[in-house]
Parts: sequence; C-alpha cells; structure tokens
Amino acid sequence: MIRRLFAIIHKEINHILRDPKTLMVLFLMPATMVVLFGFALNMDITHIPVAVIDHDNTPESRAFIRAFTGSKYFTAAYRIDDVSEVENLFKNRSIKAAIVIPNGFGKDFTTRPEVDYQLLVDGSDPTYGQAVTNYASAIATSYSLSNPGAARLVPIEIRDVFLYNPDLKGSNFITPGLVAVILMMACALLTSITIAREKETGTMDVLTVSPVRPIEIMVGKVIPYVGVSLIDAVFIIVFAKLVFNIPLRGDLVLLLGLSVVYVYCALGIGLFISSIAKTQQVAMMAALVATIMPSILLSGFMFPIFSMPAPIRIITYLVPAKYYLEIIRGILLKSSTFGILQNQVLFLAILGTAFIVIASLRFKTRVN
Amino acid sequence: MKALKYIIKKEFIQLRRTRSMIGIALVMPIVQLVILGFAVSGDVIHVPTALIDLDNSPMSRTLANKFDNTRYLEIKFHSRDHRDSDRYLEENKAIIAITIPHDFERDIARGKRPAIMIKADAQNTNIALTGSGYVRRILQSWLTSLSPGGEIPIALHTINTESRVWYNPELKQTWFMVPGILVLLVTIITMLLTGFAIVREREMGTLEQLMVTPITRTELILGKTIPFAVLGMVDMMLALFVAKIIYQIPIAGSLFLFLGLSLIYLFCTLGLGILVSTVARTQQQALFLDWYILVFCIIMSGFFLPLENMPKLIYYLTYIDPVRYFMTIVRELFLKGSGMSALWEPTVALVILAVILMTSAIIRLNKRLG
Repeated sequence: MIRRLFAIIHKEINHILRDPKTLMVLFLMPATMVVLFGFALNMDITHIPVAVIDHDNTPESRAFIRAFTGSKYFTAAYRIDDVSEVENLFKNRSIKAAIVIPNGFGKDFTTRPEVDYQLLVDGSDPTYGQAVTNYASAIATSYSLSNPGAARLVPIEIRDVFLYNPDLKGSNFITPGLVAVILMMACALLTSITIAREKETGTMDVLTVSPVRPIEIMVGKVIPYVGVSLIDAVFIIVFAKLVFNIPLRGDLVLLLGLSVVYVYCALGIGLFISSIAKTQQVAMMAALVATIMPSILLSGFMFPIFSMPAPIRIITYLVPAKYYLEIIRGILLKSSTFGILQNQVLFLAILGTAFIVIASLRFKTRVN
Repeated sequence: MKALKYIIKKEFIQLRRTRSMIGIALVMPIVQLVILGFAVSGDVIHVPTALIDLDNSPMSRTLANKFDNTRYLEIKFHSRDHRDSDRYLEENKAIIAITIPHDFERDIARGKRPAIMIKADAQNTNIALTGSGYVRRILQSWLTSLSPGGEIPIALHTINTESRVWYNPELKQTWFMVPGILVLLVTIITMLLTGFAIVREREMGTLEQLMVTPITRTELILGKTIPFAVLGMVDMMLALFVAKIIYQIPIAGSLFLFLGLSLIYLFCTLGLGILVSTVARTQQQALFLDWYILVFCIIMSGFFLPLENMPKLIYYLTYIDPVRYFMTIVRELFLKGSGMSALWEPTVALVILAVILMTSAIIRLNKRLG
C-alpha cells in the first residue's frame, strides 16, 4: 500500500517539476498580487476633483470654499459660472462633484441660524459618491462648529478605539486575504487537471488496470500538491512580511497547521471538478470560473458577509475561503487561539471531506 | 475564404459536441452574475455590535434603544460587564462594541461630559470607520432630541449640505457593480476559450495537420477567433438581459454603441487568449498564464479599487489593461448615457490594444509554426 502510494506521489512530483512555467506562475502570481494590492489599495479617497460655482462671491462664501479646497479631500479643478457646464464635466470624468454657493449665502450666514449650499454629486460610483457626500457634510458641519465655544455645548465626549489595526492600514487586512484567495485558486486549478489529463491522454486506463486502488490514486495525487501549496502559502506570508511589514501576532505553527486543512479542502474541490469533467479543457474552465470570482466576492475578502442578503449568506457557507480568511486574519492580526477558530476548522474539514468522498465515489463508478 | 468557412464550421461542431463547454461558457456566467450581483449589492449594514451599558439608568436605556432601531447596526449582545467589549471582539462575534460609562446620566446632569467609547475591530478599516461613523450619527441625533425642544444652540450658524446625486440617485451599488461583473465574466470566458483552442490542437498534434492543408495562417486565426467572438457576443447579450431583468440596471446610452464597442473589446480578449496559447506548450500552462493575466487585469481595471486612488506608478500600469477601458465604457454608457464624444479616449485605446494584441498573436503563431 505504502509503496504503491509512493509510486503515485513520485509520478506526480515529476509532473510538477517538469513544468517550470506553471511553477513560476505559482510563485510570481502571489508576489505580483501582494505588490499590486499593497500599493494599489488605498481606501482613503482624497483630492477629489470638484467644480466650484460661487454665485455669492463674498468673503463668507470664499472662506467657506477654502474650508473645502484647503482640506486634503477636495481639489478645486474648475471654477465655473453656470451649472449647465457640470454635466459635460461629469461625462468627461473631469470632476466628481460640484459645490454650488447660492446668491445671498454670506448675508444669510451672519443673520440666519441655518443656510444651505448645494452639492452636486456624480453618483455613478456609489462608494465614491457616498464618500464625497460624507466628506462634504463633515466639512460643512465642522466649519459651522468652528465657532469658538461650540464644543462646550455638546454634553458628551466620544472616544474611538481601533483594535488589531490601530494605524488603519488597508494592507494589513488585504494581504492575509490574498493568501486565502490565491491558495484557493492555485489548489483548485492544479488538481482539477490531474485526473482529467490522465483521462484525456488515456493513461487513466493504464492506472486502473494496475494494482493501485482508486483511493491510493486520489491520496497520491493530493499529497504533492499539498506540499506545493503550503510552500506557496509560506512564501506569500514571508513576502508580505518583508514588503509591507504586516504584523504576525499569533502562533505561526497553528497557522501552518490550519492551512493544511484549508489546502485539503481546496484540493478536494479541484478533485471533485476533475472527476466530473471529461476533458482537461472543461475541468480547467470550470475550476477557474468556479473559484476566481466567488473567492474574491463571496468570501468576505472585500465585501462584508454580514451585509449580504440572507440567501447569499447561506451560499457563503460553501465557500472555503470564507473560513480560512477568518482563520488567517484572526491568527495574524488578533492572535486568535485554536479554541476561537474551531468552528471554522470544523467546517473546512467537513467541506473538504465531502468533496473528496464524492470525487472518489464518482471516480470508482467511472472506473468500473 | 472557403477554408475560413470550414474552420469556423469545425469549431462550432466541436463546441456543440462538448455539451459541458456550453454549460460553462453560457450558464455558469449567468448564474454567477445573479448570485454575485446580490453579494456586492449591499452598503455596509447590519454591522454586528455589542452594547455594554454600565450605567443602566433611564437615560442610558433610551440611548440603547436608539441603537436597536437602525438597520446599520445590529445589536447582537446587551451586557453590563465592561470585560465583554473585548471578549466579543476577540471571539469574532462583534465588530463594534459601544460602552456607556458608569454614572452616565448623573455626569451629564453635572456637566462633566462623560465619554462614550466605541471600540472597533479595525482589520477591515473601511467597515471599522463606517461602523463608528454610524454610532456617532446615532449619538448626534440622540443629543439633538435630548436638549429641551430639540433646539440646536442658537449661537451657531449651521450650514446644511443639500446634496443632489446624479445618475444613481439612491447610490445603488448594484448599478455600478453588476455591469462590472458582466464585463469580467465575459472577459474570463472568451480569453480562456481561445487560449485553449489552439494549445489543444497543438497538444493533440492536430495543429500540424491543419498547417499542411492549404489553409492560410490568417484564415486559421480568424477561424479560431470568429466563433468565440460570436459566443462572447451571445454571452454579453444574455448577461445584459439578465442584469436588466433582475437588477433593473439602467441603460441610459445607446445599445448599438454598446454592442459595437463590445465587439472591439472582444478582439482584445481573444487576441490575449491567442497570445497566451502561442506562449504555452500545454493546456496547463495556458491555464496558469490566463489566470495570472486575468487576476492582474481584474485588479487594475477599477472594478472594485477606484483608479483615482492608485499611486501614479501603479496607475500607469492600468493603461495596458484592456479591461480597464471597457469597464469605464460600460459603466459610463449605462449610467450616464455617455456617447462617443465622452468615450472616444477609452475607445481609441481599445482599438490600439486590439490591433497590437491580434497582430502580435498572428506574428508569434507564424514564428512558432514556420
């Protein structure tokens, strides 16, 4: 049994080593992603280009506009006279918002308790549009509160404490997430081909008439990829540590141990797809299409799961990346212990086993 | 030209024969579009929150009630123990923990300005900031209701921001994200299909057979791309139809212009696919190269990371990403109803990229075979 298993493992390792281009992508990919994401990801929206339309043109209105353009959030890209010009500027993507100060603003500001100004927002990108609106009202409020003595009128104090990521660095959140997303795709892609390839080239028949049992083929095919994937995982974490100095607060041995469970689950998905698909092409397409978007969008990598509608939240239980994201972020950023993460581990183990069992069942019936 | 017809016919027969391929190329993108559209639809709402009320006075209870009645926060835990604020965050049960201090009501009455503490799990900075912003907003509205008559101190001149949002007045995420998902799905499918089409023939040895026939290379390439261009267009229209029905995506611009620009775009993705297949020796290599290029293109496309925020150096990299231009075109055309006058820049970029990608694919294929 052990000897036959080793034979299969040996054969698969040869397959992997013989294809340096694939191996290269396996390591180049995470490195590129970490660098691109680390630099490209900048959650702070600043220097929003705006058009200023000042119908009032008094010292008061100019001071108010300076409160906007003097902040890091807004840059006055255009000063125009007429609101009708705004549409063209929006369509050419030259500005994201326009500040319109009505006639009489200065007079009203000194005599009335409340004055209005208008903010025209390009809402086509809702995140951006929301940010623009929030920044503008924050600036307007704090401008009106800058009146000395106003602070004393507020009877309470509000204190924010940001735990686990006090500098609010986006890369601390994204880089561990990348490990989860990349590993998922790498594992599923790698294993999705292994069985389909043997079927297509006809070597599967040779394997099945040999004394090797189906379960041995499965296990023998999985073990080398577990190795490759774990090396990949360690590589990503070390690389991210070196380039972006992400914190490694928790127990790294625990992380490595739990990564094995995740890799097992991801490989299970690949095997499952491989056992269904007739040709390599179908297997690969299915593996890529099935993992690339869901592990980015349904895992909580960028979009919070708790805000999704209930049916979608149920679907996310089938996305292994969701559990691993909680594990790796927990260990790296919050130094979570096994006790806190046991549910996630349990789900991963169940999912992985389910996929592998279904795959070997399908494989057996095929062979007979 | 006759030869071209035969190649196209052959590809269609091959496509039809692999039923599962049709499933993957047509059904899977649609299913994903439906599911993923809902997944990204949300603003940050229902943030899991723990409320620790150490005061337990009538005033603190009214305040606690305020937090209960909002869809932005979901109060999952009420507690009287100050240690709970850390515990819930640590165990991943809450993202925000609000603590109302001891003697809250008394201190307010005495003018001692008690401090309300908002603890946030800041792993995801965006959620942490948004969540604490929600808490502040609720506190502010509570303060306004607190002062007798709800008056705002008169010494102040408040300036109201009267904002008018154009193109997407309710700031619906789906209107922005679903067209983006549509672009990505069509990109993934068309690039993979062409990439494999040629490598497969090479791996099987049938490519050499094709080369000894009187078919010219251009005919071969066109014969390999046209069927997938057709499939890509079908995919695009199907996905658009579904997006329109399920998500009520507005299409303010011209549908014909959209289809025309889609066709140009498809030549970019198909060209990329063929280029990959001239580099790859095996289908596996094609797959991994495709994967690399796709992920790069998705990140750089502005799909979920706004391009405007990127540092200059990274921003220049986005210029070589065809997905970026088409993403802009589709979103602007759908939401703003932009026409060619506003979209000529990305269109020209797409044409240039399509020409470069297709010609280099043909040149490389010639070299490999010649």
